[in-house]
Amino acid sequence: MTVTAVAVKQSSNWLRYLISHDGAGGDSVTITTTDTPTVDLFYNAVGIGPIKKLARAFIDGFAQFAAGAKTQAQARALWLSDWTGVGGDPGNENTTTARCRITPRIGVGGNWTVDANVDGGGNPTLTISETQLGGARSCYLDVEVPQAVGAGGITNSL
Amino acid sequence: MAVTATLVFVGHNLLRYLIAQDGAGGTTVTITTTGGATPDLRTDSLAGPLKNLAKTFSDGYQSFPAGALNQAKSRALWLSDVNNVGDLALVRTNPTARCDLEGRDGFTMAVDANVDGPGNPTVIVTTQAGAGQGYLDVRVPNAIGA
Repeated sequence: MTVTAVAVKQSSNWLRYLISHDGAGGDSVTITTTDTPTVDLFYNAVGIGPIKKLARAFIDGFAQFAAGAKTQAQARALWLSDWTGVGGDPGNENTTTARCRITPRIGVGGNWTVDANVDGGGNPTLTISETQLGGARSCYLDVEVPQAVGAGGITNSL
Repeated sequence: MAVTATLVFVGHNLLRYLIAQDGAGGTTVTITTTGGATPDLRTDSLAGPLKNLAKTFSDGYQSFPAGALNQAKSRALWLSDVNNVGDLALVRTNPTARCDLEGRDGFTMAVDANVDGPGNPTVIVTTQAGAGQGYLDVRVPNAIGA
């Protein structure tokens, strides 16, 4: 794999990943929610908090989303706070959802993107891509529930 | 200097710098932590988490003793990136900072942390070659008083 993701900050409400592209080919990396012990939102979230709850949407359901396979629209609602095509309230103020933000670290002028989708089984995923820059480049992906208690640097150590 | 960083907002847990690229050459600006002239995170910060982070070289910070740091430790302090440091407790249980960028009108930048010759942490912003402006926010996310 030429694009890799490493969890470098783990808390209940904020995960930071270092996304590295070695420039050798391949454009994207996918972060799962299946509790796989690698780069996985379920596995990486610390404690019982919003990120963990969101990552268990397939297993437990979340808010108005029943347990089981999700659609891309539902994955975007959960991880990008984008309720387009989901139905119900646009931007449901009563439901805690996440936001993703990218900050380039090495390489200027690129076009890092992040989107949410689902795998073949309907588990939500996040895919980060960069196709414009050549050579090695990197960025940080922040996955957070804005303003939630514990979203910052002070978190429980588990 | 082709790229400048000007302090435009000061909070206990948030510093905002205007990054300006005049297009005349050079693509980086370095923000220091030595207590020198602005832009300097130690000079520019008020009492609080950012000031404590900026004093790591002289006072130490949590598991990092006083003295010279390396790039990995600087990234842990200023980018909340514990990769290659191995000190998970530092970033799980103690405040560390994050740097966010906001370009104006498509202006593109990148931000990284490193150290100077003696081992003082630095934050380096790299910009596109053409003229433009953007903001760098250095903050401890969601800390009281931010």
